[in-house]
Amino acid sequence: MALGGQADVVARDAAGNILHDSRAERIARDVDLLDAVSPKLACSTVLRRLFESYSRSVANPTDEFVYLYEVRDRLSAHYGGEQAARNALQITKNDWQRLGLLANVEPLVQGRHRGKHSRGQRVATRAELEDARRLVCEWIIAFARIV
Amino acid sequence: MPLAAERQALAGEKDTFMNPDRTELEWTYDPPDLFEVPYRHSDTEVELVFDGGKALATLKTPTTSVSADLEERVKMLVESILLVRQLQVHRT
Repeated sequence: MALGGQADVVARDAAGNILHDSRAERIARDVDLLDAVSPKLACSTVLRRLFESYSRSVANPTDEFVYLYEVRDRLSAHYGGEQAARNALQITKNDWQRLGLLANVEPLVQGRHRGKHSRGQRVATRAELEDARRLVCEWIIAFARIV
Repeated sequence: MPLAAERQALAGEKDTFMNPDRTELEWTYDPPDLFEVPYRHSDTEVELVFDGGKALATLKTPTTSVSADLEERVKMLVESILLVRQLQVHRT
């Protein structure tokens, strides 16, 4: 038997009325994003490519940072450079560089330059993976909201 | 994300001389529990329901002959929804 992920929380008042339902709130957020963003993929090739890169990162975990970095590259190309991309999507320099560090500098098995790190190579930590995924998700969604 | 382009036979077709009551296109996706609850999406051409590994598209204008263009548009919408959902749940 295995318990997965975080527990959903339902908070009720003394009368049993629901004050907070984390599952219902998550589902509502997910539906809002699906409704708002999905139709835009047919209208924006760039947006579709961003989602396809993310999808490949999920399907190819050993190359995960290669595909996540593709998203950064595509945004940079679309806006004509890092600064313009960061300005348009309100991405901090720290966040932008964080993905670069994980994909290009750290000696990670999932990284883009793994061949350079024949010694001392390691698998990305859970925190590093979650960090990179979160950043890229935020950037894709930020782009989707304004495209 | 595997999306088997498995278009189902037209449903609700009465005979070749009558208009159908309903026209459905169906695809399968994996994993079947990708959506936490059934997800419904509607646009001017189609009503979509994603549930249990099946994406069912019901055309708003029933027809016995679905054009390749329309089928491609619906398929693209189905794929788009799956891509967005994959971003939300990070699952293959």
